[in-house]
Amino acid sequence: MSFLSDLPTLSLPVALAAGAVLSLFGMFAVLLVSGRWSFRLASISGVLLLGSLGSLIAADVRDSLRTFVRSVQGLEIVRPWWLLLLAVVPFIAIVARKNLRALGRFRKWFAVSLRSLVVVSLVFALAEPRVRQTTEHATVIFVIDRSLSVPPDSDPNRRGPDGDPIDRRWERIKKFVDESVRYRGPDHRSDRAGVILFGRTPRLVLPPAAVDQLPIDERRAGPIDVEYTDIAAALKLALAAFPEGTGRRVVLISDGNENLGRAAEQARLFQKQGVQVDVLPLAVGYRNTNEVLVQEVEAPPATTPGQRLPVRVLVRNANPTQPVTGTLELVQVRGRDEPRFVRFKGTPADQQPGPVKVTVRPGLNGFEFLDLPTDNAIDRDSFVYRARFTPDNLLGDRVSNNSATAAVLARGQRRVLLLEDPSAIGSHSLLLDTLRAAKFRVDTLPADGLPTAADLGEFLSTYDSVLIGDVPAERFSTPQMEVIRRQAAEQGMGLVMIGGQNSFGLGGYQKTPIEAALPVDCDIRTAQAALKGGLVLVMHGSEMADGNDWQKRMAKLAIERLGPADMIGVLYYGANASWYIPFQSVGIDRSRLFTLIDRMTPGDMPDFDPFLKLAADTLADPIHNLAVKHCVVLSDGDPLYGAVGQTATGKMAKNGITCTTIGVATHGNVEDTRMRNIAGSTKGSFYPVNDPRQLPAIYTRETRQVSRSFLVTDTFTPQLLPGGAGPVAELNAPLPPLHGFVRTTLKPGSRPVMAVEGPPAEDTRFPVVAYWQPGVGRAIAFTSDTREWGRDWAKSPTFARFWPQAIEWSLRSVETGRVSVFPEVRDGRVRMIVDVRDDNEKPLTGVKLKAFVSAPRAGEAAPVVTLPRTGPGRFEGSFAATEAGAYFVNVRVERDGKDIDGRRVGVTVPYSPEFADLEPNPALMRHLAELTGGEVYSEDDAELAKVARAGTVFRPAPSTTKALLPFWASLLIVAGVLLVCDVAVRRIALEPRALWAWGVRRWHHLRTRFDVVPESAGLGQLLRVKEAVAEVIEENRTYRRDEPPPEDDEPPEPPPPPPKPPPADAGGSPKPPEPEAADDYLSRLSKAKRRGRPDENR
Amino acid sequence: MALFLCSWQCYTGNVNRLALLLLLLVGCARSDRPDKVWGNRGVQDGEFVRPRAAVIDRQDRLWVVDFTARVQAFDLDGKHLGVTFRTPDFRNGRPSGLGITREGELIVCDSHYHCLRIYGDDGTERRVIGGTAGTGPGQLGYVSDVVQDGDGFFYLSEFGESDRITKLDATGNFVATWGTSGIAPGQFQRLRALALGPDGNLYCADACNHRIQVLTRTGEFVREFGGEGAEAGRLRYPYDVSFGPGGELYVAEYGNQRVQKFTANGDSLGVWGSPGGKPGQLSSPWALAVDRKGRVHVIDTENHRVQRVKF
Repeated sequence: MSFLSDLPTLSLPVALAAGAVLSLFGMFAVLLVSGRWSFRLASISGVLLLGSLGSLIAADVRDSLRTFVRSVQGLEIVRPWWLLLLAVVPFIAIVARKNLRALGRFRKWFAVSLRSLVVVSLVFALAEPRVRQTTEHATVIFVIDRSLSVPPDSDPNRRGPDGDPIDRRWERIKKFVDESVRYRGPDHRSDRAGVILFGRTPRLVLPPAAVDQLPIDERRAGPIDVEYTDIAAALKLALAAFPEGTGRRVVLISDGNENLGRAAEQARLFQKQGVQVDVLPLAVGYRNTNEVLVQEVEAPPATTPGQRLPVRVLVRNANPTQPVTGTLELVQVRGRDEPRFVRFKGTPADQQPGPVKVTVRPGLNGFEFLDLPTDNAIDRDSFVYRARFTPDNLLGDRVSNNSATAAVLARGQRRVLLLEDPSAIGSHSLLLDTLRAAKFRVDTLPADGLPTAADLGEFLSTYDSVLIGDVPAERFSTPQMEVIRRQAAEQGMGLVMIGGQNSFGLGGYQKTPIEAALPVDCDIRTAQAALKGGLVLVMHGSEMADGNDWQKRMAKLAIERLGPADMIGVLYYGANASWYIPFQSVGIDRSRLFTLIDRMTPGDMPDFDPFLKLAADTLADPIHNLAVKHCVVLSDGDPLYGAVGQTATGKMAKNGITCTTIGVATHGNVEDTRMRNIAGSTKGSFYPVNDPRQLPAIYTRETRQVSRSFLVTDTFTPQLLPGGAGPVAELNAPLPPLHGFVRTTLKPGSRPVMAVEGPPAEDTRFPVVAYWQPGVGRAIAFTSDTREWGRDWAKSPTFARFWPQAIEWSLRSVETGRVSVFPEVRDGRVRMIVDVRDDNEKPLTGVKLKAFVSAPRAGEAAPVVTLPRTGPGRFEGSFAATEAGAYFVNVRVERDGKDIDGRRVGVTVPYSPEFADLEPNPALMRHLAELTGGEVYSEDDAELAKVARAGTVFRPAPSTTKALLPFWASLLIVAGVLLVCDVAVRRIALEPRALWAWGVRRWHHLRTRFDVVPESAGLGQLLRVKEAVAEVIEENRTYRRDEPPPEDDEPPEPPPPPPKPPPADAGGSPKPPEPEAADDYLSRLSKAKRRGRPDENR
Repeated sequence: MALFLCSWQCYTGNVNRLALLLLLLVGCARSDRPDKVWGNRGVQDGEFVRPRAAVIDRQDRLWVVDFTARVQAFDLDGKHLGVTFRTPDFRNGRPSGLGITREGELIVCDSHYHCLRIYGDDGTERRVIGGTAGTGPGQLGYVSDVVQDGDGFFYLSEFGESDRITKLDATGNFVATWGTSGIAPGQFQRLRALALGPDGNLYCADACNHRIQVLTRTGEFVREFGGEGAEAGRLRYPYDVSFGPGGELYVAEYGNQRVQKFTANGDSLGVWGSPGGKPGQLSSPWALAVDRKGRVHVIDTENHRVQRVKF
């Protein structure tokens, strides 16, 4: 019994209660054995028992009563007019009083009361009462800033496990939090405390709980983006994390430098909800004077070939008096090429450009460079300038803000980029020759040669159209795909996907950003297929961070990448080795499988053996008729791979089943070897994975090899559909036959156009050529290939007619150069001034301008900025730019709804604003405290210890409210129970007096059954009867005294004689009084008997 | 009014006490209910994240280690005794076994660091035995459990690269090793736990062979019992073994999600527990410990709690 165990085991009340209970039990035993009983001892024990039990539950009762009273005070009635029904209660009482007269006085009033209560309960239930509970308990959430703007207070004499100096500031914060909880006082033991750590996004590290201490372990927080500070988001999370029904307080520990969100707005919400924000401003008075930062790289946002580019690097020295010496370098970065140094103005002509020694005076310094044009063709590309200043031995300087970049977009000849699979370079030579013959400038690149997502935007902005030639999806990272999508949708780039064995659904593009930009969806909606593959996923509960979530995502990804006819099964360790998702066709509707995946909870698998056996037996079963059979095991490699497992992998090898193993967060070489052995024995692959972000590419690759149901390898004549324009404008029917294609589904809506169609399956149609405009740009899907499947096209004039036309259609819109954009980054916003001129350099009128902005961070919503006119041919607009990195702005000029011109520019936010702050912002912190009525603490060890030990942060919160709790259901239950009682009182006639008399008789029997029978048995018996009757009479008399006089006209009975006490016992009970001397004994007994039965007399 | 107060209690959070009180009053408590269930998921003191090993020391303290590598001391009613510590490093993996020395000190099997760490009452490390990974004599694989006999010899069960038992003397010097991977008697597949029987033999939880093997302290095979299955007497992934004061052997079955009681000869005396999350139900129990009153403290791993039962 948990509540008993909560009791103090050796406390005085418990001991007294136990003693009293034992004493009563003992006396009862004596009574049973000998009939002896001590009234005095029993009374003492009873009093002790009641007293000790009372003291034990007193606190609980007191708390419950307090809560109850408080709740009643906060009672709210939603529909008060129902309370009018209470007026019927007196009528019910009157009517019932008359009807129930037969029950007798006591039962009658009892029944009337019960019935009235039933009605009252029902009426209150109808009125929908709600309680609004106030509470004295507080919940305090410590919200702690871990962003880089909080300067460390390093202790050079102490080093942590990683070798870095101990940060005394962080130690101080942890101590303050822990001590605040430890010393919050006995009255606040039920108060709860929690911790949120934050940078860009907040993390609830320790949810609010009533704990005795609060040690913060940062390792449990997971990764925190420390390059930004969003106090508002952290406060918002705190507000959501507060439990119901307690006072709420936040202790915000920060330097106050916010660069995302607006904490003051959030604080106003706190103010409205009565939540206080205590603040501990960090590093007040600190100013980082040893700070040098590269503030900006000034370069023209766009260039044309052969132009000399002046570049200025602005470097700020925060020290008011001391100059700083160091090395400054400026490089030009193009894609994945080696960076090229830019010449510093003043460097002698005979010296190679390179890093230069400079002195940075206090304040802002400008250093000028001149980038000379080269004859190299690459000079026509877009590129990035990157400046870096390395100070000579400047303690306290933050490295993160010592570099900055600026993007420069090149404009010149229109260019096309063909991306090929690295394992199939040159496979599109015919297409390449055809396009070059049509005067396109086409560059080819293996897909893995693309720059990373951070630099891909600049790289792709050089090209007017990108062709993806049979490249599987896993060759691109998701951020890279997102950049490609944005370039197509927002920056006007053309996107063409050319089919093949690694394209569309076969290439694993389902649900990817590239698919979003294509006119087709890579999934199909038919279960008819010539070929099908089978995939078994074996999942093992992983110790990797968010391991279960990753497993679910990967299982879903695998199911998404398979075609409807392909088969899937999922195995993991539950209680036994059995299928979680039995081996089955994926089907058109995958939601059922996704629901199951969402519910899966892979356990810690002791051994691989039974799972490998199940997978081998199932995939090898000829009944499934699988063209490709594959198994993917995801594990930390810990499970045993024993004899049964080895037999199973042997069977896999014999039956052409491959088994790929993915080792996530393995313990080491032993586990890696085990998983490598499983893969090796089945010609599968082994992937050691330390970063879960590698998993999507692996799963995409492993799954798409199985997804055979997208593939059609029959020869067919594609149908040119009427009304086709754009890329198919030059084509004439009949088209030459094709020998294969990948099934896809045209995107819904009116914008995607199916221009050429392949053979349908039942009533499902599949495009061979489809096109649309996903935004500003244009995209084409060609689902057959330009090699084997399209060999007849290659031989016919169709090829040379179709491809140049299609690529020409996909190119970016024309930029005439008569639109000028002047962007400026200031205070977290990019402000643009745009000049639009006509051919005669006069301001253009009657036009509307819109700017499509691509932010550097994948997943950020891309704003579309409307630029209102501010003067003749002049338009202005701005957008928030809080992210560090390159923003691409595509300004489009429309007249009468038609796109007539445009201009693209790149704008770079050099580094996070986190690194621009040189001193804390305690004013904001104090403002938050003032707004919400919180306290301001000072970051001083003694002061913080004092605050912690005084329990200040756990002081009673301003009166807070709990959410309104509807209470009608409980009232209904109460009414039901009362109704039952009401019926019981009417139907069951219990006579209290008879019960009492029975009890008295039993008691008397217990007491007297061992008495020695007197010589005169008859007389003795008579005496006992007399005593019993006397007790009954006395009881009757007492009972009557308690009752009001009866209403009947019967004359009152004379008072009965005083009761006869029980016979004397060992306990020294009082002696019986002397018998009355007057009447003779038998006649008095007879009278007493008659008086003791008043009902009979009546 | 009483009823109103009762229903009010539901809202004020005292429902558990009320329910228990009512259960007591109506006398409808089930016989297979544990007499104590405590612990919940969390990283504060007294909370667990997947507890995985337990041992009771001479002072009747229950030590529990969980998947965050925290070793915590509790009394037998689940009250945290104020001692929580971690092993020095746990990036390779967390400890998976606990033992007690002859002197009553706590031994932590730091499995993935191939060593035993011996701690004082307050969680201060006193000494380390082993630490060299490998399959050679004196080298250790992943140490899953340890027992020390009256003569001071340590017996360590290992898994990973080698499934075997290594015997060390009281100072940690290598004495002998026996066992290989396999399914034959004397071979092991995932040796998870050891217990020293009243007969002086070693009782080994041979998890993936679903059996208990009994070996002498010199490594001779004596007998085996169990075999895969869910019936009484059968086992599925026995993960821990421990003897009760009456000489009965308790086995935590990870696969069958139950605890089974055997005679030392391997005759089943009953099972307790079923899969689930309610009191009396278990989710992948990794370990158990039996106190001197014969109460079994079951480490209900995936329910992040401990259940105490006597059966």
